[in-house]
Amino acid sequence: MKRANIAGLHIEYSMADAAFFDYRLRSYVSHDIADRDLLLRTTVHEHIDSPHGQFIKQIKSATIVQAQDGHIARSILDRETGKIAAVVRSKPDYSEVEIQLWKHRSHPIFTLTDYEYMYTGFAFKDRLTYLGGAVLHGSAIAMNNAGIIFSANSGVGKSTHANLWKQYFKDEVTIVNDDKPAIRMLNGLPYMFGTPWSGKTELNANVQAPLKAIVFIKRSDRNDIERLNTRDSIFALSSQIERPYYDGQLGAQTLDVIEQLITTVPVYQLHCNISYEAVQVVYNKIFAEKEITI
Amino acid sequence: MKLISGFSLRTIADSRVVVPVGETTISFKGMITLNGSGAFLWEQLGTDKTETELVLALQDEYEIDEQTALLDVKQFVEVLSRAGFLQ
Repeated sequence: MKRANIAGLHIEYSMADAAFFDYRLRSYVSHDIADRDLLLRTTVHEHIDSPHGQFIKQIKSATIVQAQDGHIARSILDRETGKIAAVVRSKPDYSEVEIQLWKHRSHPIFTLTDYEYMYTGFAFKDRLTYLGGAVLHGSAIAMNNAGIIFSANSGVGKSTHANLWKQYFKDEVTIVNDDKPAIRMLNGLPYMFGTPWSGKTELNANVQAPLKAIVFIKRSDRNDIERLNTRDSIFALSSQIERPYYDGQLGAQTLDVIEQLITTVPVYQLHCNISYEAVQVVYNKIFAEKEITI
Repeated sequence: MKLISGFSLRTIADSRVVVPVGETTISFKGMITLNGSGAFLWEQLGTDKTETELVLALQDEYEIDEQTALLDVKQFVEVLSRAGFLQ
């Protein structure tokens, strides 16, 4: 078993595509013999049998059963062949997750490693959520030991905006995670963490920083930023903090995180175009005492 | 009548919100905000209730007359029913 420390979670893992994950997790390798938070194992199979257990629910192509030992198993059917393409078996607290992947699953875009990357990302997110954290869909940067997460639906331009910060401030800015930064509360204050699950890009860093602001982005011709009221902040956060379709209780726990974030971090709405002026508008709002002009 | 499962009602910083959880997150993308009486009725509908029971509960809680309570309940139930939130 290999070890990693991701967002403060001690993870022991064994992946099917070891070379890919050795590379992706290279900044997160840990030699700590600490209490394990998550045991994560992926295997690839010629054929996957239906998991045994008491039927819980059928949700689209996923069947959920509970085994006698209490483990929950979620099997996902391949749409083309009707065969079981993956089984995710976990303890109810997500402290141990075993992922079985069907070797012959074919997809026009995704490879087997892509699926392994996605399912292990879900496993990490579920355990983090269970332990009181969350994963926010967004592009996260750290600057002067302050974390800022730019969030929006896919394709709006959060990565583009984060990259503008990097281009403008260069080494002063670190892109912490370009897709799904982790958030945890430490001593009642929110912190942002890099994780190796950073979407399509490899842009991530094993960095943690106090979370200073969350900025929701909308494309516009103009650049302006306003602080969202409580209701709109909840709406924006709840739409970008994923709640798993297979576990309602875990989904409800994300609302605890949202409640903590609302009271500890300002949430903004940014209307912006692709320009340094957009960076300036956000910088001046968040770091109000240090105005810059471009 | 009662609410379908798959929603979580929370009061966050004085805002009463309902968000989908579990399977419902697939079919309902969004959030519902409720005022005080709406949240009260939502909680009542966690278990099976008749219209009359809802009216009586609302009258007890808010000390309002029957006509006002009946109008509120009818409007609320109509909205929930149209959205497919009742079973």
